[in-house]
Amino acid sequence: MASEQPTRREFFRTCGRWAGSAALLGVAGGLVLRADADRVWQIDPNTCATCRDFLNADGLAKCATDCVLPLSAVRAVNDFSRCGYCYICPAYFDINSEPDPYGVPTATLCPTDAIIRRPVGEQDPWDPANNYYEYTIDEAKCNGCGKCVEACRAPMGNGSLRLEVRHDLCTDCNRCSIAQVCPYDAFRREAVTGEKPGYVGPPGSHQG
Amino acid sequence: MPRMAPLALALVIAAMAALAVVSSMPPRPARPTATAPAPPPAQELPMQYTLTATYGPFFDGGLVALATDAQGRLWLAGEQELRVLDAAGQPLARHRLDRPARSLAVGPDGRVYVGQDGRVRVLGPAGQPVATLGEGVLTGPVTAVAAGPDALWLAEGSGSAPAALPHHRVRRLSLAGQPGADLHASTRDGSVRTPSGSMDLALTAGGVLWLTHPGKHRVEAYGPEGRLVRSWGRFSQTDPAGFTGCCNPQRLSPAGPGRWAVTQKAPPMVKLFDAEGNLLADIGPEPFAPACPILDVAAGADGTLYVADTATGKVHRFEPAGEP
Repeated sequence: MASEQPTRREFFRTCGRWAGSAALLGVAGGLVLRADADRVWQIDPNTCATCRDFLNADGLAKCATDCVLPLSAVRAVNDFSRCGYCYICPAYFDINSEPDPYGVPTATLCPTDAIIRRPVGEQDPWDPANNYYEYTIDEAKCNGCGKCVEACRAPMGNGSLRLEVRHDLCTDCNRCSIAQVCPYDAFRREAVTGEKPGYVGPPGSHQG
Repeated sequence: MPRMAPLALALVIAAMAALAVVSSMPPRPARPTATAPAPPPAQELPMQYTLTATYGPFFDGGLVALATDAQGRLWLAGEQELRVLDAAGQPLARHRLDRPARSLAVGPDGRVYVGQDGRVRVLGPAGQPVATLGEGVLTGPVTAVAAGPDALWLAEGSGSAPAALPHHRVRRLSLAGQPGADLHASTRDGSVRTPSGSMDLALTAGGVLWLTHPGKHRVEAYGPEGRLVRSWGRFSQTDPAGFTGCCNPQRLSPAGPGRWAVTQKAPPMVKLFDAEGNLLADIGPEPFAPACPILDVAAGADGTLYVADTATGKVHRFEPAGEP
């Protein structure tokens, strides 16, 4: 029995092993957390399909319905560098609505009227089809339903609209409730670098 | 080491449990491809076209444009190469390009004009290099060319604000490359609104220039003095004679006496009109790719239509099955 008792040297050696392992794990964990601190929940625009086949009864995508916030932190944004500044924008107008006498659809698509349309540049008061129109999103109204994004998708549109997690609103939950239900696995934790097209860039890079 | 065994065992069990949980999760559905809205209901039209052949795919999906010549040959432009086919789709020749092609036209003299970035490359009927026009004059991509007996009309994309290619300038060059008076189109600044970055040009007898104006959903014709002499077309998701979406029509080609073949995207269609804009026939959305961004069209002397699907790289041949 006496031979099974660890010696003081063995005791300290075992303690040292465990302490060393714990320290290594702590350092590794810290590094992982530190790396993850630069990463935030983002939506891969190439994977997002705006819940095309998974809309709820009100036609809303999961980005609109599954955020923990009362009004989702996911909002639509317009990339002006890709926007065609169209006279008849399929994301703004409900293009299947009855046209007015000038052939312009009479209804808008956004259920919360969150898209603002205004002519920019030199304007022709006689023929509105000659003007360029800028489309911006009123973030206070947008609920991230994705209808405009779907309507602007190529080839119908230029694909300039996309859904984006607004990081001034997002609580950055450890387990994002939208990411858990996203049917296309489009939610990723990505670094805020602006290097990947369509992902959130550094402050000041936001458009539309 | 024996003291580490329980820890290793626990890790193995945890990994197996995680594997079991992951493998029991339902697979993520595949992202659906872009879908075009359903086409308007069919109606009785004076003419019908029948698909009689499909050639290709060509250029590994990088087909840019096509044109026909007086000999009944098909010219296809890819990113770096031209291919020549006979009317049955048999390859006749290939010609390398030193810059990507953006557009293609065959002139009345049989010369081939390839629109590129900032210039037009001119080849002889046998494909031999003849000239390069527009260098130092053109700065943007030449996305459409129309060749007449004494001048070229070019659509030059503008990279200026507010968007990348929101409009095109329609420019004129002599056959020697000298700049002439540009067209002042039906907008205040004289440009053509092209939200999706493309349009098309064609010349008819008497020097009338026809063009697609996608931002205004119509086809326009300008006389030799540059005045708008005719236009037709309007936005509509339901009228078969209308043009859908943000920015149609796309390409056009004369298709017999007083007839025009005009293409649109989303849904991809070819529509045949008379010179007054009355719809005579339509083709599509089958067999075209639903997400095709541009259909290019050219006609043979016998009224056969050749349609290039730039999404699949295939050329479809349609023959008229009825006369109005």
